[in-house]
Amino acid sequence: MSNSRLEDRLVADGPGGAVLVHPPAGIDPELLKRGLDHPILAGVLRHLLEREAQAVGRPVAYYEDSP
Amino acid sequence: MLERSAARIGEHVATHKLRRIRVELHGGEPLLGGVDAALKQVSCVREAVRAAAGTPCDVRVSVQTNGTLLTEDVVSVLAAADVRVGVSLDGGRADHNKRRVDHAGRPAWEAATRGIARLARHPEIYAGLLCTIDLDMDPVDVYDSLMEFGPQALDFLLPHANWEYPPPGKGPSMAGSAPYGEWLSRIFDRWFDSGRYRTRIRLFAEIIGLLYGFPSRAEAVGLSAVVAVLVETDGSIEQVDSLRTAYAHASSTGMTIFENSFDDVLEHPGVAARQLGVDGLGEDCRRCPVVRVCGGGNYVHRYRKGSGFLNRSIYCSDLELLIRHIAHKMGPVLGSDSLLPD
Ligand code: SF4
Repeated sequence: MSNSRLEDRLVADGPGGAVLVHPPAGIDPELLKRGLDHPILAGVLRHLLEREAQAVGRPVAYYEDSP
Repeated sequence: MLERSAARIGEHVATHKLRRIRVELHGGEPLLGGVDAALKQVSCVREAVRAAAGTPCDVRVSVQTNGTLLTEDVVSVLAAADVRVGVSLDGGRADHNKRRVDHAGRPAWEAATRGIARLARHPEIYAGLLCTIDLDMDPVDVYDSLMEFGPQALDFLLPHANWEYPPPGKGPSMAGSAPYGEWLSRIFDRWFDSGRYRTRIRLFAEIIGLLYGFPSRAEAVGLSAVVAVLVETDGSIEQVDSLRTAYAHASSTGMTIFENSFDDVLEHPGVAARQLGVDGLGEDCRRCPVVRVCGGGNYVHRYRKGSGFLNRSIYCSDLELLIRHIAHKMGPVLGSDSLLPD
């Protein structure tokens, strides 16, 4: 897993391969970068960044009785 | 019935030009009718979406099961059909699951563990484990034992309860106590301080995301609009079935797939109330310093006779404790003490 940084961009590795995303609006990029230095926060952030990149602003379906 | 449901799903995809939808096969035990019946539903939906949608749409299908019917054949067939499988357990050991029996009333544990082991050999469809919290069990023991099954995702669910029917260990006079928040915080510490990311715990991941400012994608926390409807086997369209724990017919919309589109359901007051974010919350929550993260908790847990769902959650103190605990743990890592207002 890599936590490479490219200027204001973050590289997040995931099951579907690496995705390159901009930090979503309203989220402090500095806090994101610091989170990527923590193993658990980095794992969570990769998941959230991929999810937001795929959602492109649309709601993401969720249902509690399914993980 | 099946064709009509599938056609409604296709219609919805086409209307909104959706690129991805989730279909959950959910029970009882959805595999009880046989894997072929389940797969027939899946292919019917995929076919209807292909026929109706002008653009490609990824139909992601999941099934949530107790794991007892996951034979080698069933797992292979589900994998071939790209159906993801989640398993519900009460913990990762036999004594945690004493209350779980199969459809014939036999202890479910042995068959469930064999099923999960088979599933784990197909990580591409192993969606993870769900565990409803039982305060009588040691949280770290529950977490550690579940991790032995190698889930890529895990979630701990608060037992469905409300102000009329409080959860075990939390009577009405104990509303200020936070046993569930404390229970979850112990798992959070075990997970967060482990030094290695082995699984995503949904509730914790959502709270972390909300503290950062990401939108939530969970019913348990956050202010995102509800984006799920349920189709019953008789064709009625319902809100999420957990609402039935508040009062009889609470999930009912009076609509059916024969007469209504899924867009019609948005007109239903119960669904509309869950699209309003903070404006759909009661006074206590609207004034709460952690509302942006908590969002009043799961809608179902706010119910009280007379005021309906315009209340804080029966788990209010648990949620606040957990959220503040997570913020407190994240603060030093991020060099920030302003993730939450005081
Ligand atoms: S349930 Fe409690 S902690 Fe959550 S937003 Fe409402 S008042 Fe705040």
